[in-house]
Order: sequence, then C-alpha cells, then structure tokens
Amino acid sequence: MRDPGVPAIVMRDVTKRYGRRTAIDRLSIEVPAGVVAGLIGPNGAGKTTAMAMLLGLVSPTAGRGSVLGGPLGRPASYLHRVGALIEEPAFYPHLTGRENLRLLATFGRVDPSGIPGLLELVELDSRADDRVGHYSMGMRQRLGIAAALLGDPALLILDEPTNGLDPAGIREMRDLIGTLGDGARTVLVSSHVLSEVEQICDWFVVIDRGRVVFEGPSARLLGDGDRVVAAPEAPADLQRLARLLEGMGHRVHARERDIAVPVGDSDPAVLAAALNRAAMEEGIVLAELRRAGADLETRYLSLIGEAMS
Amino acid sequence: MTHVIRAELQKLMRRPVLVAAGAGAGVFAAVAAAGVFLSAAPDGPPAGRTATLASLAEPGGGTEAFALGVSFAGLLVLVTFLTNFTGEISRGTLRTLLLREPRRLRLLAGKMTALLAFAALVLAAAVALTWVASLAIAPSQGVPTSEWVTPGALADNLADYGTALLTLGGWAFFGMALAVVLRSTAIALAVGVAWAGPLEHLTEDAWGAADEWFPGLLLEALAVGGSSTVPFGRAVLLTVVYGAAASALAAQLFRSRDVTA
Repeated sequence: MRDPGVPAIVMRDVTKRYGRRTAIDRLSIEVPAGVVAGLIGPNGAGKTTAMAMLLGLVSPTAGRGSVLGGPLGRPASYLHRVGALIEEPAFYPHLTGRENLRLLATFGRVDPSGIPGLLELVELDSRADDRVGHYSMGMRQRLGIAAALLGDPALLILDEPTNGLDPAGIREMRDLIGTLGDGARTVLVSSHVLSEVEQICDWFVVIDRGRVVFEGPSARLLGDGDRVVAAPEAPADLQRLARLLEGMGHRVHARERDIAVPVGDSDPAVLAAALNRAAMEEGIVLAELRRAGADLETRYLSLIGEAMS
Repeated sequence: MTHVIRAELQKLMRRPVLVAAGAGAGVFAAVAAAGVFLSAAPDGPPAGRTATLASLAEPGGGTEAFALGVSFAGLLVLVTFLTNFTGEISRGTLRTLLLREPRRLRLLAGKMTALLAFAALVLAAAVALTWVASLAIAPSQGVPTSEWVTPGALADNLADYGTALLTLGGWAFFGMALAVVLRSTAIALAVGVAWAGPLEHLTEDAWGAADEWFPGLLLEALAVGGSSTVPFGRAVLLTVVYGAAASALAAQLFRSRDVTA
C-alpha cells in the first residue's frame, strides 16, 4: 500500500498568495507514511489551503513537494491513491447515498463492489437508499468518509471531519478515524477540537499564520511539556520554595497553590527526589509531589504563544 | 475520458430524469405541432419562423414544426447547461469530482460530451414525437402527408435534426462557457439572458448588421436554416468560431483556477 521510506507528504517552502494576502508562507512539512497525523492551528492558519494544495484544488504560488512520491504539481500522478474529505462534504442531493458513491466510483474508475462494505463501516447501510438531501450533517460527513475510502486509498486527507457533529457523532467519528489509521494507511486530519486529535494522532503538524511551529511525533510534542509539580503544605511556603528551587538552577513556574518545574532533559524521578530532598532540608513539608504531562491544548497554546511572540 | 462520460450519463439516465425529459419532449411535440399547423398560412412562401399549408405538405413537412419550435428553445438550453455547471460549483460537487479526476480538461470535456449526447437523445425523441403529432394534426388542417414518408423526406428530417442539434449545441457551449467564466448562477444567468435576449435585439434595432455578427442572432438565423441577411453557411461558420473561442476561454480558466468553493 505504501512505498517504504517514502514520506507520505512532503512540502518544501510552499507559499500561497491570494493577491497581497499570504495564506501559506514557505510551509515545509514532512509526514511519514503510516502515521495518523494531526494538522492543527488556529482559524485562518492555512490548514484547509495546505490540504487543498495537496489535493490539487489550489495551486501553490511557490515551492515544491510530493504526495505518495508524486510531484505536488501533478495531482493526477497520486490522487488515485488518495481519499479526501475537504471542507463540507458535497454530494448530489437528489441522488441516494449509494448512488452518489456509485457515481464517484465510476468517476474515479474504482471497483464499486466495496460500496456496501463502506456503507456498513460508516453505519449508513440502513439509509443508503435515501436521498442525500434528506441526510443530517452527521450522515453527510459519514458518507464523505465512505467516499474518501473508495478504492482503499493509501493516504486519507480529512479536513475538520467532526464539523457539525453532535458529541456522540464526534466520538463515533474519532473512533472511526482511529480505526482507519490502523495498518499502513497514512491519515492527515485537521481539526480545531484538540481533544479529538490528541486521542487519535501519533504525529502532529502545528501551523500558525501559514507557517509550521511544530512538526513531529506526538510523544515529542507532549513529552516536551513534562514537568514535576510540587505543592507545599503551608501556602505561605510557596514563595520560599520557588526561591529555593530557582537557587538550585531550575526554571520555576509558580502558580496559585503549587510550583511546576519543567523536566527538560532530566530524569523526572531524579528531579522529583531532588526537589523533595531540598524542600525537606529547608523545612518545607510538601503536600503534593507529582509528575505531570502537558495536554495538547497546553502545548498548542504555548507553541502558538511562542510563535506570536 | 470515457469514465467521466459514463459517470455523467449515470446521473442523467435515471428514471426521474428520463421521465421528465420524455414528458418535456412530448409537450414540446404537441405544442409545436399544434402551434405551427393551426397558425400556418394557407399559401405563399414560408418565411423565417412561419409555415404555410403548402410547405407543410412537402417532404420535410413532418419535421417543420420541430424545426420552428426548436428555434425558440435556445434560451432554455443556454439556461439548462449554464445552471448544470454553476450548480456543480455552488454545491461543491465540482470539488468532489476533481478529487476523483484531477485532469480538469478531461472532466470538462467528458461532462460536456455526456450532456450533449443526452441532449441529442432528447432532441431525437422530440423530432420523432413532433413528426407523429404532426401526422395526427395534418388531416384536420387539410395537409396531405403522402410526401412525408419518401426517402427525400427522411433526408429533410435528418437535416432538420442536424440543424437543431447544431443550434442547440451552440447555445449549450455558450451556457457552459458563461458558467465556467462567471461561476455564479445568478450572475451568469443575468448576463446570459440579458445578452441573448434584450441586449442583442435592442442593438439590432440600432445597428442593422448586428444579426450578421452577434452570437445569439446568428444562432436564431442558424435555427431556421439561414435568413435573408445571414446565409446558413455564415451562421454555421461564425457559430463554430464563437463556440470554439468561448470553449477555449472556459477551458483555460477551468484548468488554471483554484477551486475553493
């Protein structure tokens, strides 16, 4: 399904300008094959534009890249191995869900025999013969996923697939995308619901104002935020503990009730023991000492904040 | 390109569309035959969009009502093709299709071919039904129909069909080009209908040679086999030239524009 060693997506210094507005500014990303990658960023960061360029819908103003080994400027060389759902799913409202999929199968020269299985996968089999015009937003999103999966693509590009879904629908979609990413298939999914992508992605690309601010495995993104949190029993000892730890050369974030010390390159257990020992020698009793990982939202806001500053 | 044609025909060859197209052809046949036979002048030479009882009795009389009726259908074809293409853009289905067939010119050409093939089929049904309707009405107007079943009649019928196909094909290409260039249904419709309707005809009142140059007026002349000022050959030639230019412009824009809707 994939070429070993060939990244699924490569963009090098890709720029897209609309008149004087720069939507994408020298964007360089590389998504390895076989990962579920989350493309995240604030509204207007350029996520949809980047995806539209990968899909040949929008031409880059400058730069180069490849998708599944095919050059970015020649989507015909790779799109037959790519399934996509970009912006709102668009179908013919007077045709049924099944007819829409058949039409797209013919259009893409794909064997239509897989359509019943796809309808079952997205749980639309009981409504497959209803007109799409009568579908809810969630059903159209699921039909969009089924359409993207026609031909068993090696790369799935999903732009905000949970848009317009209720909480139950969001959960179902998240589970579905997690399933789709099993095995060798690469999935690139954009979302502004960070808790959703956090649970399914093992690779992240964070962009802001058209530029990459982070790219790499989720372990690195979230691991970068590991810290040891210490809370003194007496709130009056908080400032004293902060000064003590700063005196030991640690970077300290004093908060209302506790102090967070980034782990950095240290061993978290060794750091925690050192903090505990120093506090004890100073006569400060710790009511809490724990290791904490950063959640995606915290890391994301920190990255975006750094990018803005 | 055949997969694009097949996919487009898949949409068109569904029962509701076929029933609607068949009903449309039937209504057209009835209205055209009744209108032409009931309003035919008793004698004198046929001129422009009129027929005489004598001309209806000639070998091509069976499809004369069709030929005259089709000359009024140009705007309908323009609107049909125009809204078909702008609909793909406004619904976002163009985006969906381009994800499956990124070779844009193949998509445009395949879709246009399928639509024209379907239009040709509907037109064939219309010509056959008009012939039948004319055959039914002719006796009531005292028009003999013995000449309608001769080999010469078949040639005349085919010529009427070919002319209608060429005329409506011209309108179809202009509709497609307007849709691709302007993209918005409302704007494209306003421009297309205003241009082909009042604008050309008002200009014609002020400038006598307008019918020799304006595409809508040329197509009107083409539909009736040429006029006193625009020979059939000139109408065909200029229609082909204008159609090709409009298609080339549309193709270039369709190929190069970003699809963001």
